[in-house]
Amino acid sequence: MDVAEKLEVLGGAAKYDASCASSGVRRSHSGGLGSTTPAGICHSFTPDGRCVSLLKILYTNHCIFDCHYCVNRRSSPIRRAQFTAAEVVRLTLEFYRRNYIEGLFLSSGILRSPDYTMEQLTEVARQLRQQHAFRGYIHLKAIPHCSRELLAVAGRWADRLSVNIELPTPADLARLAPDKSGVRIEASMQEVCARVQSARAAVRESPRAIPFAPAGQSTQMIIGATPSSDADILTTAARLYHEHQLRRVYYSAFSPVPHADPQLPAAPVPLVREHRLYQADWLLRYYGFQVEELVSPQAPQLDLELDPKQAWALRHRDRFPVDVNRAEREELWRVPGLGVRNVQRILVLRRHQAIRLQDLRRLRVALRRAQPFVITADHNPALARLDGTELARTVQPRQRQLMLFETSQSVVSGEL
Amino acid sequence: MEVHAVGDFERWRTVARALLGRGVPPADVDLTDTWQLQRQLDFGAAGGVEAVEPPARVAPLPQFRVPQKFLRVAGTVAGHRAPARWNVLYRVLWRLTHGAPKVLDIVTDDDVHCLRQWQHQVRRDAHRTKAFARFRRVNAADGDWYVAWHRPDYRVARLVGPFFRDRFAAHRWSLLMPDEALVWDQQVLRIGPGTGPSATPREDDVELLWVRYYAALFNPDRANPRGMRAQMPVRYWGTLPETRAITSLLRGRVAGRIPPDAARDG
Ligand code: SF4
Repeated sequence: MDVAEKLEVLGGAAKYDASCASSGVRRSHSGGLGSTTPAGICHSFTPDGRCVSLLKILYTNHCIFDCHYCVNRRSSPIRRAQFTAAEVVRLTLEFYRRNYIEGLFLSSGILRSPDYTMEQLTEVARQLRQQHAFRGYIHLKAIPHCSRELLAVAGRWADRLSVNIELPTPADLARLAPDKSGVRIEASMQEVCARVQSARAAVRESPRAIPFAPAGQSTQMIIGATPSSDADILTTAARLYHEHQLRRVYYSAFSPVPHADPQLPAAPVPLVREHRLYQADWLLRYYGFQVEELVSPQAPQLDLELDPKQAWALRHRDRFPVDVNRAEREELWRVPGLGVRNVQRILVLRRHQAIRLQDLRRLRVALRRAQPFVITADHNPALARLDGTELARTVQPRQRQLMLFETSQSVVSGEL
Repeated sequence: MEVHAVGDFERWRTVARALLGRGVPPADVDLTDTWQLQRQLDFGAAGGVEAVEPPARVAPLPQFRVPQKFLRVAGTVAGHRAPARWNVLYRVLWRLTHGAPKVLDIVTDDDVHCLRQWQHQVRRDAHRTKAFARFRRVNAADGDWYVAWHRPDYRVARLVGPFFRDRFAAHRWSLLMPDEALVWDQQVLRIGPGTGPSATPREDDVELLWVRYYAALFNPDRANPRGMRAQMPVRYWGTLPETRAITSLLRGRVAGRIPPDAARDG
């Protein structure tokens, strides 16, 4: 099999991985090839509207494990392929020099043993960094159950490491990924977290200290493969953010695999559910929301029709209207249609002048959503709707189309 | 009414500084844009190559204290095409130095709003240049060069120059654009006159691998051509090799062809 064919098989195999972020820390650029920037760059977009930022491939799709939701599983009758380290190194460098990519995201099925596989991945990263002075972005997947020593080596070469949690609850994992141990997966996260933090402290002391995965760690969770609710998913995500200092949790809507296990749903999970989870995740991390405010035992699923902040506001109309000229930052964050950046602009602007509706329009605030919830310096006719029964309908997006379009963006920005 | 011809940021600075020194209010002066004229001259002259000074190192206007932020905005807005930009910049400069030192905070002010929109457009264009410029390897007698031809909407060479220099310091490259070009010879980054698309080198073999890879990423369950075109507008497709695969991918989906299977990973 030639490299082009391998690229097709092992690139196609990695495409469901949701994480495309390539942003990291700024790397010094004395000599060598490449740089990383705080913002990261999407060099292309697939016909499904997703960002192409990294050469995202599997080292191999051979696997000794048998996770039910995965086409690479041992029992799956698919075409198998395997790269060599030299091939991956060459592809990365050649693509990088032509400005196709920001770097490499290398993952893999499990060959022989978790440690053997992890050694292959770290070897690719080592060659890139040591032999080719490559300074672009490298994201390595930590192979489940690999040793602590190998994690230590991987973090030395990689910008980011990710250990996949895979499914929302330990029971889900036991059911669909019998070879995997939730306890060992989280132990790996803990190990990475500890090393990232101690390396960060060391770098603060002396800039010559050896960094460890300076762009931190992320994880991915498949949603909709099991009946676990959005409440289960968000509770797990919030716990992981808190306990292991994750930079991102990626949500990946389950889509059926060929020769699927009868335990799995036959239809793909609606993308809009994935989108709502990203929005909720964003609210948890940047808008000061708690999981219990977005979902509850009585209503464990997010509303598919409304964004979660809007849904929260409709349930808490007594907290509104909010006066844009007086409210605290945290109160403004909770107004539907007001993003963190616009709140900052409002706070600066109102030091100089009273804010009217027209100013909000100029700031490109989504007035259709925000207007019924705010008091401005001038008369706001939409306020009358705040207590009306029609409010939920009038603030909904007009077309379904719009929501699908938003979906492709939410992985990148998560912005509301 | 005084009239001055202005074509680039340096010239605007010189003129603005002189006007400010003489206390000429914005209503009494017209700074006309000569970019189009200058383009024609540039094409005529073979030379016209200068070393790039990174925008960050521009010294503040000495005798007047203006916020660094204003100079950053002005440096970016200078690359825009709107002929009114020089006058608006001077008006804001005047206000900054005549009783409204915080005018940039008033983002809903007409002039400030205008500048911010222009700044946003030029920045986005610079970002797209960093994203979409595609280099091809050219074998020269004395070794390899990497050459890209890209069509931005504005003049972004000064904004993107340091980025490409830092990223591709280890080899020689040229980024050709219609109005200007950047050239890195591993020593100095230079900015020179632009060229047309005929200067694009022929494709190299790695491009074929890239197209195969791109095609393999397609997930027919999620096709969203509208979303894609919003992110990667069709006007750039001419220089993006991977877009050759798009039409057949979308057509294949309609015809029910299932591309190679996707998988989870370890
Ligand atoms: S270990 Fe990874 S590649 Fe192997 S079957 Fe499980 S999910 Fe698939």
